[in-house]
Amino acid sequence: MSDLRTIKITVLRYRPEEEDAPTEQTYEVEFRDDWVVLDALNHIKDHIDGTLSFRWSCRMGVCGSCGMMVNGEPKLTCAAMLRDYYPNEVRVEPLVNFPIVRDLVIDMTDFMDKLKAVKPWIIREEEKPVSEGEYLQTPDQLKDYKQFSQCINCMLCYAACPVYGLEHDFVGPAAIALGHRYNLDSRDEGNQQRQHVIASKEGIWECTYVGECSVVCPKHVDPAEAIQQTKVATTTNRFKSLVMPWGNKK
Amino acid sequence: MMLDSETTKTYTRPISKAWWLRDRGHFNRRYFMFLLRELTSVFVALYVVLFIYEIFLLTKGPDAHTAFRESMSAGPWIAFHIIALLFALYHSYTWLGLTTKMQAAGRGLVKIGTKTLPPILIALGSYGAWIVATCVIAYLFLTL
Ligand code: SF4
Ligand code: FES
Repeated sequence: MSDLRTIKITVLRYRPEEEDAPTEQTYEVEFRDDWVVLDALNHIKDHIDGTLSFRWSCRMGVCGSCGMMVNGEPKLTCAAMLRDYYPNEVRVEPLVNFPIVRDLVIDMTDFMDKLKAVKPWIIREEEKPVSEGEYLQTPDQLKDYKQFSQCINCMLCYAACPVYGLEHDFVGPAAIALGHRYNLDSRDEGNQQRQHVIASKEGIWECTYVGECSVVCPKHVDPAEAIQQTKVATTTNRFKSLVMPWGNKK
Repeated sequence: MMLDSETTKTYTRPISKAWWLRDRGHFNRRYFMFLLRELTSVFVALYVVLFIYEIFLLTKGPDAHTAFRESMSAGPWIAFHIIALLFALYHSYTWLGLTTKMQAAGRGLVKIGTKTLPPILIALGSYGAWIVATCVIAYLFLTL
């Protein structure tokens, strides 16, 4: 099949041992109709320039490691079709709002710290012994949080969020959405342990509702919704504990 | 990959001051609309200051107030009021639209039993309440 076309790919390069600031490099890549941006990067690495660094793993929108800026927008490069950009040039940059380690690879330490801080796992006040069986949940209870559990930690939402860009203390969309996911889980009792991170000034109240996180999220997690829901829930809980201090729940 | 941020040399890209206009060579309409929404507050605040000043003038007797009202019919003031009104409408509309965000299908905050109230009902409720409140205030102002 001779469906080959040639597209220009400009990539941001940063080689810390050689240069103090990033530069650009343009490659010409022959691509097939079903190629995604990640295929082009792999083609460059295998056939044109082996020094190009970038992250990827699953090539199917599951692992969340191939997020980059494609023509200014945060994208999973394994899901961004080249034909959608052709005949225009494609510009690939590392996710913004994160420091660059090398070429298209970013330092995600900050995100990992924030993720840990919201304790995204089921917390029980007291674990029941295994012999008593699993914690059961109805389909309705599952529905309450299922969408928020689809996050693949790709960090596209952090790259899309100008608040995070300007204010690095912001806990950020995905971490709040994941904390919220566990708060909504009927088996969880850790709400209060997460509150000081999520309901803090650096948490939900930092969000000014730009809403771009939900637009770019490849898994339709809708982190902006998680944040708005948490704002409402936190406010009503606070109000309730003011009016009925005796009725506090975990 | 976890890095030792102390010892690894990384590069942090600066954020342009005009990120809401042109971000890396691209115009993002949603960033722009967001900033516009933030800007609307300035006009709403200015209007409130003007309104408080008008109430203050009421205490200075009818003449002072009439003179104020007349000065308000100048072109620039009318333009200001129209802009403030449009901004207030835009701000209220988008703000109330957010109420649907509590409510996406199946996992909303407002429930009856185990059923989530559809987001559209929440939005209609908020817009409805807004219109009713506006009508009541307009009625009070125009008739009293
Ligand atoms: S919320 Fe969406 S965009 Fe953000 S990290 Fe999770 S999957 Fe990626
Ligand atoms: S390579 Fe795994 S999400 Fe793209």
